[in-house]
Amino acid sequence: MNDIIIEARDLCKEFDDEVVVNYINFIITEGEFVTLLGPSGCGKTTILRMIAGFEDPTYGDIFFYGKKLTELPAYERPVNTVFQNYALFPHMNVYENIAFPLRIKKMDEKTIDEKVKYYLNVVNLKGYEKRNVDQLSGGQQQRVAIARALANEPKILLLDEPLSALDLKLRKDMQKELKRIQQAVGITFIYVTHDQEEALSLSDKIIVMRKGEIQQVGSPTDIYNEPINTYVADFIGESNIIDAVMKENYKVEFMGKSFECVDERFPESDKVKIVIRPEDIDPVEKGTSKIDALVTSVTFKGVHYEILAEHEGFTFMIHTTEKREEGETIGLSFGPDDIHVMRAEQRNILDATMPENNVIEFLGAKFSCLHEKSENDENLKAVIKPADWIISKDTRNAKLTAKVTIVSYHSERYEFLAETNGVKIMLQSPDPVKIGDVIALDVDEDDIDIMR
Amino acid sequence: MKKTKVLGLPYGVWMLIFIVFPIFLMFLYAVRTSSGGFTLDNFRNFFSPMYMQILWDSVYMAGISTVICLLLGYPVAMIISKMPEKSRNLFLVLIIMPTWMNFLLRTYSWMNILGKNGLINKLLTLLGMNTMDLLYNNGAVLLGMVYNFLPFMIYPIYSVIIKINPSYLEAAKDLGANSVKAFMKVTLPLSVPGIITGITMVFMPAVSTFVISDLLGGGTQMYIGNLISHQFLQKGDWNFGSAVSFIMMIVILIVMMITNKFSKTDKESV
Amino acid sequence: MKKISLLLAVVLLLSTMLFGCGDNSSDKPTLYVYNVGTYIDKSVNDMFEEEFDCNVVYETYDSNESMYLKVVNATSDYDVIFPSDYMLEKMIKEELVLPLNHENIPNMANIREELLGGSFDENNTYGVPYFYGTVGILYNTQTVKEPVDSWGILWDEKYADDILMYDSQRDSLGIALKYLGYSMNTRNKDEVLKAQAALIQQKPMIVGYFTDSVMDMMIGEEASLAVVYSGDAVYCMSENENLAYAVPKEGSNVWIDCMAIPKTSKQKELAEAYINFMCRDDIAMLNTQEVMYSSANKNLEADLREEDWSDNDAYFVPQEVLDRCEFFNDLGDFLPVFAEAWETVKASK
Repeated sequence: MNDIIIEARDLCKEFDDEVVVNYINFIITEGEFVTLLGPSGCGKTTILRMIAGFEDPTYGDIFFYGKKLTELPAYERPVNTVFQNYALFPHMNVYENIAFPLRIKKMDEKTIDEKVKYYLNVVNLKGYEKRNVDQLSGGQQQRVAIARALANEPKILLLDEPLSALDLKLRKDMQKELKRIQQAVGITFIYVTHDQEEALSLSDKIIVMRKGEIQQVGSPTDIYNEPINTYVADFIGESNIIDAVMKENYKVEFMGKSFECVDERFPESDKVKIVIRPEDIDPVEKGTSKIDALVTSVTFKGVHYEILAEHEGFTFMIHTTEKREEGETIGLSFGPDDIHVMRAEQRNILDATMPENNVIEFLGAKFSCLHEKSENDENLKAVIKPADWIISKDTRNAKLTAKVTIVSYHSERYEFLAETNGVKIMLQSPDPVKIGDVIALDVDEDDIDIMR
Repeated sequence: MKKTKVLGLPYGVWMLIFIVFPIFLMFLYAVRTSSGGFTLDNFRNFFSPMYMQILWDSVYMAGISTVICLLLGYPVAMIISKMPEKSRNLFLVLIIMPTWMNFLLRTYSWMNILGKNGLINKLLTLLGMNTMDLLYNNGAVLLGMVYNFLPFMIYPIYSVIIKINPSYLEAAKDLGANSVKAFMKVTLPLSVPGIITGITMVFMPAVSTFVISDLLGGGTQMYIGNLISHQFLQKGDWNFGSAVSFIMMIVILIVMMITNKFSKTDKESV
Repeated sequence: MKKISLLLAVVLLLSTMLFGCGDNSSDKPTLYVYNVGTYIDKSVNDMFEEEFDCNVVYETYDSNESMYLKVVNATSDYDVIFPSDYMLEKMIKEELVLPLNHENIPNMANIREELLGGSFDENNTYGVPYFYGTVGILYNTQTVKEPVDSWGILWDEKYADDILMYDSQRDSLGIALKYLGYSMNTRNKDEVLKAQAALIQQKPMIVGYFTDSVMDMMIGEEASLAVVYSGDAVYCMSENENLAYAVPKEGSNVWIDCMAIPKTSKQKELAEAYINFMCRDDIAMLNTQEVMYSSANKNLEADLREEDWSDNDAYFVPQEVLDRCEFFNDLGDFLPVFAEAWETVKASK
């Protein structure tokens, strides 16, 4: 398992009474391609600059392999930045730009020459040594900037929206290049962007941010498929977000119809929001599905058609390769897997059995509780609040272990999902966890409620 | 294309009347004798030990003034560029404000400060110390020159430094350069155009000055500016005066060409 | 639209030119007087304007040479100028001044006899004396205890860095020539070169070459010895009682500043009336009290001897001093020799 290379603890940054980064905690492991994703002003660039050393945190620390990074000035940190505007030195040619950090380190000419040529090769700019910086195209400048940052052989490469100034085709090419370079060189990349497609295609892990706070941390697929709230759902990919009511497990009601879904309900509240991705809706003949809608616009997007269709005041967005006409009434078809329910609240509801009084068994483990056995225990459920779990990293003699799959952070604590025996448990902890951790779980007898 | 040519016409006429024509007249005077004949004697006579010494003294004095202005002005420009905007503007105004007042008055006021009964000496006697001879020597002239021309070194350097993209400096630090190295390898080379402008704007008036050397130098040291004014106002030898003026123009042109070379080679040498 | 704005501009330009052409009412004549700076009591001009119902436009210059240039280039129509003796001589030779009608200047009778008939303008055909004086040494009696009777004191090591010389070609070379025993008007190149050498030898010992600042410096006791005009000495002595004036035994320069009429004058009779006016006792008294230079008017002695500032040898030049002084003559084509010598002195280290 790789080490934690960067840990941010209670990281906070204020500019003139404005809180730009609000008590952020996160972990980055060696070799990861991590993206800080969010709209402008969410604090992602500020976090990057604090890692680089251009800004000091107002509060909190950043640790590099456990050592305080914030104590070092920028020029001593094993971190290099690829700037959004490239920041190539205009009074030096390509060779000198890349050689700059090496000269500072006082390497001999031969080594410098080798390294410059090597990294020029890595970015596919062999032979460009003598060119002047202003003679290069945007993409070439970007690659020189990358080569220059890599030549220093830092442990971490920070990239601040490096591709935002490039046109679409070039951007796509460069994205592939960056991924390739990262895998070739093997160092940790921390990438900042507002472009969610970019984040989804490049990253091993995405940290979604909003107004200085982390909304969700997870792999691209997890974030895309299981957005933790409407903000993330909306930000990542297009979505249809609909208010719904959930009275029982696996069944959700909206638009006057009932639909099967794959999530369990929670007792606290019937009101939920559901997310259906546009590409998950198929247009079918009207009347053949539960929802009919009137097509109000059809746009050809190359890869697909984007169809807007209205039903009872709600406009659905559909991505499909089938063409439809404006004014047509179509049926909307989607499956139970396609309905993602937003968890508005937190309770773990677990299938349970009671072998005897005051003992309850779930997830393959026995726990003492305050309840007594009864006759109607076929549908017995144990209900445990996420905060009530006792979490430990010591898994040797654990009653119950689970593996962390999704992590998010709210104001002062981590909220995450851990999976065991195919069941997802909602947990909370002030201490950081990372995806893939195996944790030991226990719970007090007072904290176990039951549901029949 | 046509429109810009027409727009340039008034300046072209102005240049012709007030720049080209006078220079031509000056050259005419320089190559003639007082009786009207053609001669190169005016130029030839200049290349005598006495006049060459004057030329050297002037260039030397102007050179030292320029260097001092550079050494004093560059740090000031840097410091101001790092201040927050309000303070920056305040300091810029403070620096340029003396130049709004009459040049002669300001030079006279230095006589009041440096003189035997001046401010400094009054202070020294108050403290029980001996008075110093601060006026009517080369030091006073140097002081006068630096004082008068320093703003013209600070402003050009400042205006170049302020435009340097701060991300260059960040990149330099990011790549391992500490503040000193970042300055030497990034800020300094990029500020060269400002330095060159500053040098030109100080050297030119410094080498041709005659008021400062007259008032603060006691009239004992003759610089090339004094020599020229002497020809026209006291000696009445306009021909020689024009020749010397012409020669001085060439000297300044040469200096400007040299400094321009610096700004070009800098880009390649790094 | 463009044509209208052009027309408007032209009209505006013309009207400002008309306005700029003086605010004189066209019926009153205007007299243009060109004099040395601070050389008159300005109220005198107002009095003249009233008495003679005219306008006086008064301009100043700072040296004979610059006045000469203006007159010779006929850049302005001056009616009255105030050349020094040698300059008047030169202008007479070059026919730049008009002969005076003495019948229009009866007050010339008020002028001191010894000042009339100078070699530079015999019979005073062209000029009437205005102020006169000598060139001598102003010294501080507190720091100079020995008698000041020779130019040599200015070469005395004892007073190194305490001597102020005058920034004037003829005066400085003249002093050196006199010190060496030659005439101030010599046409002998060797003598000039010797004077040049003497001045170069003196140079390290002097504070510098000055003009007007000499006075403040001596009053402020910043130096012990200075070369000054007698009129300046009068002023200085009135401001600081430690100062005294002496004309060395080797002799010196006596000078007369005269009033003359350049040939470009358009108001000759009015100019002559002005010159006559200046010779009047009361007017001459006003002027001398303001300027403190020795007046050419002979009728003021009784009153002036009563006053401290004028009762001294600087103001009233004793005869024996006059006897050992000479006027500057115009050097004519020998001028370049002097000019080059002076230039060499100033350029030397």
